[in-house]
Amino acid sequence: MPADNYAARAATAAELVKFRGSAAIFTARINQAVFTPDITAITYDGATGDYADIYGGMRVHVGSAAGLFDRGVFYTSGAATATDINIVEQSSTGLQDNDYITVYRIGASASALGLAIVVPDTVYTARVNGTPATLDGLAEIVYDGGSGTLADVADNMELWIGSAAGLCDKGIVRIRKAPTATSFYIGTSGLQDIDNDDYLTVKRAFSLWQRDLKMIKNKVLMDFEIQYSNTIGGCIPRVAPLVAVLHLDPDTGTVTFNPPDPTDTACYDGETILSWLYECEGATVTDGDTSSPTLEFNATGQYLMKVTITDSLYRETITYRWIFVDPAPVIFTLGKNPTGDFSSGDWSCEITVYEDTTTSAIVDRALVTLYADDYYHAQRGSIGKIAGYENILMSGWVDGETISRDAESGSVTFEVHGPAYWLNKLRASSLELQYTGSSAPNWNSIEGMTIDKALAHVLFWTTTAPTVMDCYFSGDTIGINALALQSGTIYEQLRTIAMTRGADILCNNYGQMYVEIDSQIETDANRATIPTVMSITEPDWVGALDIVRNTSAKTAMVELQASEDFDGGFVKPILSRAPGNQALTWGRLTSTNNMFVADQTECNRVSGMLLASQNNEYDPIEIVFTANNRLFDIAPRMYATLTYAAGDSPRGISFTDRKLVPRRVEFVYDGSGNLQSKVTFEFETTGVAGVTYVPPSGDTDPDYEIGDIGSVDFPTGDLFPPVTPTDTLEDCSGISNRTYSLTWTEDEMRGNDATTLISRSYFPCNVRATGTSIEIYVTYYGDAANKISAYAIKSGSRILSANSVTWFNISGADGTDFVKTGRIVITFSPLSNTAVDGFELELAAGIGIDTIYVVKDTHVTGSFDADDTGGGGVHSITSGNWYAIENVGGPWQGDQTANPALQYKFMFRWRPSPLLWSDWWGWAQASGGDPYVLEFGTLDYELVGGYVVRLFYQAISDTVIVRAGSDTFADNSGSMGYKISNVELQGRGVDLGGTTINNVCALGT
Amino acid sequence: MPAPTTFEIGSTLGTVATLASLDIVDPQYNFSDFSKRVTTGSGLTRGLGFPSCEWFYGYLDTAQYDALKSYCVDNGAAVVIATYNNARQLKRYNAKMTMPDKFALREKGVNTGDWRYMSVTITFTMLTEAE
Repeated sequence: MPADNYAARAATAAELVKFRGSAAIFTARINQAVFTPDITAITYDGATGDYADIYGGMRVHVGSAAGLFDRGVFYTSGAATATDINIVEQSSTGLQDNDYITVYRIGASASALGLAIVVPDTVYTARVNGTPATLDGLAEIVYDGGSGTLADVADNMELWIGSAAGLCDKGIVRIRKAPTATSFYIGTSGLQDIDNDDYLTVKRAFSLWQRDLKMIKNKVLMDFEIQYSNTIGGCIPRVAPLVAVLHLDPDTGTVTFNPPDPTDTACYDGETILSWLYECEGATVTDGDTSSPTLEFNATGQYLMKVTITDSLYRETITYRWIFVDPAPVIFTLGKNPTGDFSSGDWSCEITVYEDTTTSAIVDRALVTLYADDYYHAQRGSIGKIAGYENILMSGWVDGETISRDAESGSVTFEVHGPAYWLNKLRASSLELQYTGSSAPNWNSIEGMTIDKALAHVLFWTTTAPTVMDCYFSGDTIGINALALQSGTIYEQLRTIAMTRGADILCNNYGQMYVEIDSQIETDANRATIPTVMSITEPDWVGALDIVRNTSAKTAMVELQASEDFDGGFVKPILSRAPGNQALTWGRLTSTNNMFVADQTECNRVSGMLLASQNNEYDPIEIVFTANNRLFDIAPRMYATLTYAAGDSPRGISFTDRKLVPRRVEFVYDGSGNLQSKVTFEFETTGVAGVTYVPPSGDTDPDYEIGDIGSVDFPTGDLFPPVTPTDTLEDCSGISNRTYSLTWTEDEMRGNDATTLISRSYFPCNVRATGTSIEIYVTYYGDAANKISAYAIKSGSRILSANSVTWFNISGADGTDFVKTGRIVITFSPLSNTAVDGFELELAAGIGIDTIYVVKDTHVTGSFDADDTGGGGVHSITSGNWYAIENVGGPWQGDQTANPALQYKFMFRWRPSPLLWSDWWGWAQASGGDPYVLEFGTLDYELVGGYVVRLFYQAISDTVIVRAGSDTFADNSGSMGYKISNVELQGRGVDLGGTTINNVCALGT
Repeated sequence: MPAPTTFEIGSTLGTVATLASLDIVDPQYNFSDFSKRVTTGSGLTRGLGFPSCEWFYGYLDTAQYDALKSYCVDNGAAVVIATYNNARQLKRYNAKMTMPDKFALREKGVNTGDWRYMSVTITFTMLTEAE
């Protein structure tokens, strides 16, 4: 069962009474024989209902029989007791013992709206120290003149850059990792203008940002520089909606808040949650290290709740939520009601704020929350989906604004949009994700990939969503072999993932994301778990219901192309057609592709459900509720039910408890305190399973009649394949102005792979005495520039050497960038026109002097006691191969220091300690022998992040032991985990791209 | 706090004063239980929104007008009033007060400089019980 943070639930009976207006809530009989004016209470017995529901101002009918009020109508003066109903003083009565009492609620539902706007405070200030040499790809800003506590600067905070103190006129960027004493590390953002001495302000603000991928050769780095490791990462928090709005109790001057149950939080790499830590500066936190803390506030203001979630690998995922206590009043009007729409997957509204002291404090992308002070039957209180957040109408971030100014007043109108809208504004680089049956070796692989794992991967590593919001996934377990996520926006990529299982990206009015399989294609068993909010009855809606019935189909046939649940074996495509191979009479033919299903049976079921959904007998129905009912939303999945009696319909249409799916929800506010919900529902449909479809495969053994084709001179040897058709070359007697394309036998040449050092292209032609050239666009790696030789070949032998091989660099720089792009121009100058079979390139052998390490799969994992001089177990390795070792889990964490004397040591520090040399507990140290104990003194290393250090090691023996290195083992404690991975050392290489050859002529001419 | 016995007005619950103490006569009044009425699918009419009320004066002397206006310096203000509701109860309510922006001003006599505000209707909306 989902925790109580899950925003879909059934309305309670008491809530339905509140929604439906005046109603008898209590009945009893008078148990009193003597009435002495003036009476202020009536003694009763035989009650039905709860006397605790009675409060002042209710209407009391007293009659000689049930339902009558012939004895009089009174009003309650306050709460009732178990024996007496207190009424407003009456001077005369005609009451008698055993008369019938009925107590009614009176008064309407009403709401006053308020606006809470996050105005982030300053954490740290500094000045830019030197104008950056280039702004293109700027990921680090050097600063001086810092003021504040640098340790308070947290990952993902906002850094404002301005021409004056406190301004952000030059841009707002994200802090991507902890700053040093001289540098802020920022998300790359395309800043246009930064000058020396510009003002830097770190703001305590967290919002949605992209975390950019960086490609080095074929290796992906996350968030600019984070190397892959299957031990770093974290969880997907589900701790609370974006913003809570509380009010101090006027009697106590305090308010307590219990955040929702966070235990739906989950890791998607197999780890589990170990502990929680709730912190909130300015509040008194009780049981903060549990999943059920209490926060107490005693002053108005905005507060930031920080939740640190530690998982079984001791990784910490930190997420933040805002809490307002009696927000400062803002003068505003609603231009567009808060509306959630299935098609956009999000909520939005339009707000006009009138000029006052708060207007200038609203910054671009400010987090805004619209909340209500609700009354039902004149009783203050809200009804909502999640306890503590019932009063929230919507939360989102400001986008765009229209500033109005006339002679007397000013106002700013802006739109507020939820997370889906903003995720659709965050750029995303293309990313390919693949299923792997074992531990993932890189960022492009996910062990046992499902849509949930892929969503977690993309959201956690390429966005800051887990830092600011809850993200709920489907729970689906169908394996997916590969996902090609095109460059575009994060939202588009998430949607690509979701659609493989018929899910969508939807956010509710609280700003929580839900990715769930659409209820219209769900199985009956899973539909049964979806909450039904309420049965809608006639008193619930305003006016008439217009039900549009479709009398002809819109879709004649659905053809579903899907792949079967992938388990690491073969991808099995399957197809289904609904209603069958014969289409319906009316409608169009549609197809749905790229889905994954459990098997052919499910494929048939889903195709049938899709057809039924597209041919829904009824159009979506719009219901304007009389009530201020905010239990409906576009996500998560929920139902209402509706009964329509045949007698209610001139056409005799009827249905009973027909399920409705909310697709659009609007909170309609008229400015006078009347808040109503307007919900568009889709009727639930159920289809008949389609049929298995096997596309025609044609004649697999055709009888082709081949005539006499004469003598054909097929090329032999390793020139074949591939072959570049020579097209029709021009006669050598003329001057050629044509170019032709070449393809190569090896398009990825590697200096350390002898099988790829030679690449050939078969292109029989005459190389002219002058003017023949080949132009190749290349991506090249390491020191490959100028390391290629070129030849023309005939009968397998080199008969011409290139006159020149000239490299032109396009992007990247030798010695700085490992990956470069460029162009190679090769010219030939034989003494006369020379007949050739083709051409040959040769890359100079060797890995070169410019190399990088690419970590592959895990070789072995282990652990050892820190005080054990014997270390961990003996592991087999292959001498000469490269390996990486990194620390894994446990309280020990790897770190690296800038201390030159000790640099490159593979050290561990005890996690709770500050990073000081005096806190050393040991480092791996070397000694020879068999097995070989790793020596780390001069090894290359890289910081993986999260206090994980990875060292690269070329084996010089067939076995290895890892142990702590220490001068004194006895004073060490605890155990140290490690992982040894296979590594590929990559260096010199050339990827051959588009190639053209110019000025050649036909053989024999 | 004792229950009200006559009409009152104040900026807060703690500062309410009877109109009499302000030398203001009790007004004519009306009280609406709802701000809007709708007809439900069952055909019943249902009220929605906050109660509201109006205080009506045939005329107010300048001192009386100024005394009331002092609670609503701008066009609208949050106040606490005691007024009768449709259940014939005198109750204190939090309310949004709106003073009229148009009225006739008449001098009591020729060139006396003693003015009266004619037909003044003060509106109180978004009423919620103050206690």
